[in-house]
Amino acid sequence: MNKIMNKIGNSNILFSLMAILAGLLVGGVIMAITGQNPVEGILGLLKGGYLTSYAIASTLTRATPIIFAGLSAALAWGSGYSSMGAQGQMIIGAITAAIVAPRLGFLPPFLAVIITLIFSMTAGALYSLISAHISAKYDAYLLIVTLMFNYLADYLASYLTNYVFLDPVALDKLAIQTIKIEGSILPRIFPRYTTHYGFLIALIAVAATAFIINKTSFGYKARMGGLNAGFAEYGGIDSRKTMYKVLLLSGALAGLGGACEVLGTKFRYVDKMITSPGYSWSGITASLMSNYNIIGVLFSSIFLSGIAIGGSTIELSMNIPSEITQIIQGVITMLVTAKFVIRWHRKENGRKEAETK
Amino acid sequence: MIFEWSYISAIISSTLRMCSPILLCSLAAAICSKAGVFNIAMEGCMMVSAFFAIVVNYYSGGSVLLAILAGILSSMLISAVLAVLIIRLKASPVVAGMAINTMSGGLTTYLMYVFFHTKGLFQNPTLNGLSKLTPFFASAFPELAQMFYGLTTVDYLSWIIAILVQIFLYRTVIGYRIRAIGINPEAARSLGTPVEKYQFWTMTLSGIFCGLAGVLLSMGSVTLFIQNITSGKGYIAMTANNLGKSHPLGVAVASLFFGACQSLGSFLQQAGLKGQITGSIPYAATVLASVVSSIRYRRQKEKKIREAISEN
Amino acid sequence: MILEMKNIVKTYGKVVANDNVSIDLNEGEILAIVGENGAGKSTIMKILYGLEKPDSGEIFVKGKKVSFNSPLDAMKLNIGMVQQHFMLFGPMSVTENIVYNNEVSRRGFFDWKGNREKVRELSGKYGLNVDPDALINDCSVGTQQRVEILKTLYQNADIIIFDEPSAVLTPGEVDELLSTMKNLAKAGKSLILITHKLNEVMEVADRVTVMRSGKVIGTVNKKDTSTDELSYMMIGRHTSQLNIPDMKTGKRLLEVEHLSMGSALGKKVLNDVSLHVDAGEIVGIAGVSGNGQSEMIRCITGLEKQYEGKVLVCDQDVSNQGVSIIRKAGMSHIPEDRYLWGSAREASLSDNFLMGEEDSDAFSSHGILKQKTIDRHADRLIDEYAIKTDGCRQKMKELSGGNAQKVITAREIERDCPLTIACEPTRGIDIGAMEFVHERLVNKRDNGGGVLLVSSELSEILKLSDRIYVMYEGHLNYEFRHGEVDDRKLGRLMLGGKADE
Repeated sequence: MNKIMNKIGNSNILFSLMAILAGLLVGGVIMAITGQNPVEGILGLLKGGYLTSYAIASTLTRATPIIFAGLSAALAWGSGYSSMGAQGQMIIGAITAAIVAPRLGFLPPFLAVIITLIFSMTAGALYSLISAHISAKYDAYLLIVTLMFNYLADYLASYLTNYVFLDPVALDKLAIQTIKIEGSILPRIFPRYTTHYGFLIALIAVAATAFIINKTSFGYKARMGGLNAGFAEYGGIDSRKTMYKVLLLSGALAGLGGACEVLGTKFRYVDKMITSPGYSWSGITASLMSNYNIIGVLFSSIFLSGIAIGGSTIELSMNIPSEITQIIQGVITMLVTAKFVIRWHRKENGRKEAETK
Repeated sequence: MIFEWSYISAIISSTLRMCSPILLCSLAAAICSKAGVFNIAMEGCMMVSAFFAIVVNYYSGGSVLLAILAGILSSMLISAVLAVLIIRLKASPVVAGMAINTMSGGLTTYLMYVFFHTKGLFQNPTLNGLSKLTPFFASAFPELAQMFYGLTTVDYLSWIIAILVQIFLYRTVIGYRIRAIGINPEAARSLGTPVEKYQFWTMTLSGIFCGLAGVLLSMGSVTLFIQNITSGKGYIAMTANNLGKSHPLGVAVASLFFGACQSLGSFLQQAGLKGQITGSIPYAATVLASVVSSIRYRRQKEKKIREAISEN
Repeated sequence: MILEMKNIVKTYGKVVANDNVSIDLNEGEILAIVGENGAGKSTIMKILYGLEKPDSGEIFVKGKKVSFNSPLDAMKLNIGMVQQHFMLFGPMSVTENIVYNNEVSRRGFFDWKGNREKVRELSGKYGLNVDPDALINDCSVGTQQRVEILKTLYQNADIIIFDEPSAVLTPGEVDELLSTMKNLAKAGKSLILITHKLNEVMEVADRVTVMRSGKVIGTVNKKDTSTDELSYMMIGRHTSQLNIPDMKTGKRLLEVEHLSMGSALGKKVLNDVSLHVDAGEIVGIAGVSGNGQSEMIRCITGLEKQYEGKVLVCDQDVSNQGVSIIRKAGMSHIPEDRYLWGSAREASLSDNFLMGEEDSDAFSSHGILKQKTIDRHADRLIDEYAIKTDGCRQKMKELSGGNAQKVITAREIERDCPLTIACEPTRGIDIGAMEFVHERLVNKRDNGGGVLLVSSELSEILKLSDRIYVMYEGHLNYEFRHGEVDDRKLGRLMLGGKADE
């Protein structure tokens, strides 16, 4: 019995669950302070995110870009590189898709979509490679470089949308967006629900990333570098090469995520479509919640997407601003990184107990 | 027209205005890194402060003093939370800091809706901005005074603070202990200094600077609160701190550089360049500046190694 | 008697670091505590300085029974310590380093004049020359050490512990240190010198306490003893039980020529090291750790690339090359630190067994790992080396230290390559397993491989080596064949003595 408890106690799942609980608690307290009914609010949040077939479909739709960002982050952070670049790479992937896809109308839709996705992946990967190179060559903080590149990507996409590829006949004159993609899109899986084939691509990406990380020698090198850089160096793993490969792949995943968002939900690039929902940050949170476990990223992403969807629901039905979910997510993130110490403390205590016995 | 004095002085005054929030935040980052703590949450602290300054401004019927106080206190509170996470709970400073930054965006928008029933922008005629100071020599040298046009009390204060931080770190006993902790916490601990306590208070008090920066954003040139009002200034301050090697004077120079980049951006925009291009100037400059400084740093290091070898 | 430690016992898990240790110190004398690494001398000093708590035993300072919770308590009782690894603020001045936490201040401001004056006064009083305004980073190691000594004096220490003070010094600086110590003793301070350098002991100490395997072997007056007796007491008698038959040596596997390396502090860590290992021999490096062994191994294995000289592995010039090239040339390496370099604690045993071989045809094809083969390989090694574990999927961190060491040793010995660099291959593992590891090393040699063995266990070196080099202060001073040298002589040479004493 004790042994089982220990196993659970040591598992990430319990800590993530505790962090989630604490996050919801803080969310509830804030609702209460600001004069809302916290119980109804939290229940509404969960119901709106998970408990109806419509909610589940919306959750899975929104989870799609988060899964890609989460994979991208899990790959980079799990290999020891704290890249914040998923956002910029997603934007680059998205704008690439919005530019390429409408020009492939002459191809059968299936082929056009595949080619678009390849373009977006390549664009995301290259964009990631630039920041990787600057960071490696000039010892600049990867964190800062990738953050700056996020802003630059946002401006670049905005420029392209505004001045080069703006939809001239946009119905809503205030919207800054590219022309609508006809035909070569990712269709819905079930006509009644928004979930599109991008979600299936995300599932395939999860499987592929898990395979690469766990079953290939490249994945082995990346993992070992993340767990103990000294061990990797001692074993003859070229850390520079691994870094480039890891960040290339992580950029490709993010780019793919951006493309799926364009081809599956918006059918065009709309200014700030990646930045405002905070997909990238949710992805990083998801990867931290699962301690960089690839399969775990899938479930954490769906969870985070669910509370975001729930947040929009309660905003409409109960007039609670949906940003409450960002606060909940922030609390979860802070607690999952603090968890390492809590665990360490306990182990230390355990050791002391063992010694006194 | 470019060489007209009015134009040049306008650029200078706008540089100074753009510089102050970055300067204040990079000073916050600087004292934290002097104490050996990695603080990247300036963005979040600044945003929360900017927001609460406006809230208190509004509800107190336009009291600037109370607004400043509210901004500072809220920013200190956020810094204290972060300090507990990083120093007591040993959370990763990068993740905890980023979490604070993104959470602040959510929190301010949420509360903006609760208080003002709007989400994008809040502006109200009852709000009072920071008082603008006219230099005492304005009547004697009006041309010179143009360079300081539109600067508020807090803008001036930011430069005084830079000097005070310099004095504090390098002249006072506490400042000297803080630097020692940052250099070698084990040595400091072995001599009986409560290292964590010093670090906690350094980080919490660094919130004052971010608080003032936030107040400048929401009550400086304009008096309003808008979603994502900080727009990455906290991250630029992080780079300014790096470039200035956490030394107050170096940090001040780096902040001026970034202030100039931003002011250059807005002037180029007025001159007809697209906003997306001018807007990206500070961020591109940040990357470029880190690259250049790293090349210089590496050259110095190589020189040192070469000297050491030839001495042997 | 100013200090008395009675019957101190300290255990770490199953390891007894201090077994009923008693030490006493008279006022104004220099007491040397000598012993090999792991003899328990640093543990007893950590206890005295409040860094560790004893399991049992009593400490009396100036006749009063005391107990410590932290170095602060020790400081309050006027006990100071000059640590082996200096605790200094590099970019700060000498003055700032000495007065820290007890500064002269005026209204909260650091009073430069007052502090500088205090430092001058102190350095004049004890004849410890320092420039109060120099930056620590610009000071020589000797000066830095003087600053450490001044720090303890500034805090009014009456008992000063010196932990291996000469380890980082040049010979000239050592002489200066020793005369400083004599002066301090004359000025009424009581000194404890922890060291394994017997010539220093013979020069300054009044009495010598010898420790071995956690116990005090004896305390003698310096007048009544000799280096020979002390080194015998320290190291004891080691016999080479495993008598290995001579082997015809084959082709050259490792050739190191004129290897030299400087440290960041401007000291030569390696000084013209040349050695070779042939097929069919085990070559041992005898030496007290900290004499350049780690640096030499780092250069040979490619972890350090900034050195002068040549390294050839299996006739391939691998000087200044990276790890993977050297490994491919035919070398495996048991690293000296099992967690820093040797393993990933959060990874499974299978992953740990795979390191270095992830691209080999045996364990992967077209970049895809053959997990079944990898696990089978792991299971085989777990079985052969009797590693206590739930299976190859268990995480490294859940293993005991000895079992973790076995994982690393097994991985490197069983790798298919002619040369093995073995650093402390049996550190912390039990006797039975140790015998097994020894057998495997000999087996490797018998099958035409070569082993370079670095160990702080003299018995291990004597037992296994066909040839022995003695390493002292970054240089290989002597070379012997198996049987040409006994433990006494080797012990003396390791401690810096001469061959014909």
